[in-house]
Amino acid sequence: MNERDPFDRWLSERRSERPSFGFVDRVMSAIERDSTEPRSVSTPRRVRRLSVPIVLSAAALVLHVLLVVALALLVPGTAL
Amino acid sequence: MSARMMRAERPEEDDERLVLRVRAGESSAFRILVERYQAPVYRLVSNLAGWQSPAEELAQDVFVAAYAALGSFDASRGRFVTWLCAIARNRALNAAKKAVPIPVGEVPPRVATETPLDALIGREFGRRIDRALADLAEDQRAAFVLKEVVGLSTEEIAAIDSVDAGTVRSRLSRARERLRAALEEER
Repeated sequence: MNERDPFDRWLSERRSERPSFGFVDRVMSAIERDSTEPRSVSTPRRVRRLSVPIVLSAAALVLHVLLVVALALLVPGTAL
Repeated sequence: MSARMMRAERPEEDDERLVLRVRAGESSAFRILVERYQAPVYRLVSNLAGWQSPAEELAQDVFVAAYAALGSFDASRGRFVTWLCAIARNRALNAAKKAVPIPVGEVPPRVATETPLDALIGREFGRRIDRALADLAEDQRAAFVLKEVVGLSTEEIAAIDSVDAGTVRSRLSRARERLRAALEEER
């Protein structure tokens, strides 16, 4: 390391950087907060994957029933 | 690893043993790890994310994330500090990507530039090198900071970047070349 070289001096300064006083306390407080705060409850990915086909199937079933009812009303002689 | 990385407040207890204590429910053992690595993590995020992001907030996020993910640390795959630096590297580079670039003339001085040493270097010179560092390709910047500022070995950097040691040496060589070129322009 050549202290007369501006690049080496710049590097030396970067190597001596430190966070400000109280940093460790702030980190430990943040960890404490993080561990006591309730985490948001999200739907598990597997449940989300399953719910899509279930919704589509339910929609298809409803449409099917509606279609049958409509046909029954339109076609004469069809008893419900 | 260099002496500056190895400097530890409580050298009698190694990192892996402290991790085991934290996992066993003794969260206060993590405080020793924070004390031990606060400076290298701060230097890493400060020099990777640059002036665009508040380095202390980023460094704090790194430790909180590391604490939350401590269960995934596997001592058989590498040292704790390498694992920690991998988290810090990823977070700092993500922060740098999200930040809006600032033109050279508007780059604010770093807090640390108020030291007597920096007065000798000159604020303008420091800004130019900072800018040159920020302009390096992401992999070169990360390799340079991990090696020259944080003090990790080439092999440890290779493990963090998931590349071979030769690739790291090549990235380091190109990074030094470009930073020196930026310095020559200043002269």
